[in-house]
Amino acid sequence: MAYEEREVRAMSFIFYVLTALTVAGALAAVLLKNTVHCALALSVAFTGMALLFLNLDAQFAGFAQFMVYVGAVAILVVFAILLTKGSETPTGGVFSRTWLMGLVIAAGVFAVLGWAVMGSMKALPQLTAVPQVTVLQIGNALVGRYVLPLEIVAVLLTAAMIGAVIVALHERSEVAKEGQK
Amino acid sequence: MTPLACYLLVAALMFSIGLAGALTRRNAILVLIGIELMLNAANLNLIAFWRYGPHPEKLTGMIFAIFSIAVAAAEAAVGLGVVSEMHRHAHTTDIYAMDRMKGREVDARNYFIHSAGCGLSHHGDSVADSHCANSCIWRGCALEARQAQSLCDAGDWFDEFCTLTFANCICARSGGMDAWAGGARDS
Repeated sequence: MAYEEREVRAMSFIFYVLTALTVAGALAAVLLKNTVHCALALSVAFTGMALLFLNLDAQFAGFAQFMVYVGAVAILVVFAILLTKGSETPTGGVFSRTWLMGLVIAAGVFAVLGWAVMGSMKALPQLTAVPQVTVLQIGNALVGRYVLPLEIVAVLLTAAMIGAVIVALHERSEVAKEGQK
Repeated sequence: MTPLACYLLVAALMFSIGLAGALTRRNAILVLIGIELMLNAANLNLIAFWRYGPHPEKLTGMIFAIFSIAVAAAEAAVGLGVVSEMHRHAHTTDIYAMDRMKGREVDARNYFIHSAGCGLSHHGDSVADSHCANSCIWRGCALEARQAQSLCDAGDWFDEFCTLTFANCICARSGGMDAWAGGARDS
C-alpha cells in the first residue's frame, strides 16, 4: 500500500511539471504579441502535450503527437507566418474588438467543464493497472478492426493535401501582373 | 482527486485556453493555433479515458486519438493554405479584412454598375476581367478601392465606370475614404 502511494505521488509530480509546461506554453501561444513567439510557444505546448501522452503510457500516440504536431504542424505554422508577413505587429492591436466576450465565453466553458468533471468524480473509472500495449497490437488493430477508418483517413489526407495545394496555388496571370508592377 | 479527474481538468483548461485564443485573436493564423490547442485537449481526454477506463487492451481511445491527430494535420494544412490565399487577396491575415459576407446595406445601383462593368470587361484583357470580378465580390472594403484604381489604369474606356465605383466604395463603408487614400498613396 505504501509503495502504491509513493508511486502515485511520484507520478503526480511529473504530471504537475508537465501540466505547468503545457499550460504555460498554451497561454504564451495565445497571449504573446509577436506571432513568431506564439509559434514557438505553441511547439512548447505541443511538446508538453506529447509528454503528457507518454506519461499516460500511450507511447504510440505520444510519438505520433511529437512527429505530427511538433514536427509538422508547428513548422507549417512558422511557414505560414513567414509567408504572410504575419510577424509584423498590426497597428490595431493583436486582440479583436470583442475580446472581453471571447474571454467570458472561454471562462464559462472552463467553468462548465470543471463543474462537470468535479461533479462526476465518483462515477469516473479509477483503474490504475498499466495497460501493456505494443505497436504490433496497434498495427493489428489498425489493419483489422479499424481498417475502414484508416482508409477513410488516407483518402481525407490525400484530398486535404491536394486541396491545400490548389487553394494556395498562385494563378499565373496574377503572378505575371505582380511582376509587371 | 483521482488521476483521471486531474487529466480531464488539464484538458478542460487547455480547451478553454484554445477557445479564448480562437475567439480573441485578430490574426487568422493564431485563430488556427487556438483550434489546434482545442483539438489537442480533446486528444488528451481520449488518451486519459483510454488509460484509466475499462478494457484498455481494446485500444479504442488510443486509436481514436491517432485518427484525431491525422484529421487535425489535414485541417492544419488546409487552414494554413486558406490563410495563405487570404493573404494573397487581402494582403493581410487580419480577420477583420474578411467580413465580406457580413450583411451590409448595398444599393441596387452598386450591383448594376458592377455587373455592367463585368459585361464590358469581357472585351478587355483577362487581368481587368479578374479585377472586375473581384471588385464585384469585395464591395466596401479597402481592397475594392485599390482594385478599382488599378482597373482605371487598365483602360480609359473605364473612366465613367471607375468614377462611379470610387463613389460607391467611398460610400459603402465608414472609413472607406481613408482606405482609398491609403491605396492611392501606396501606388
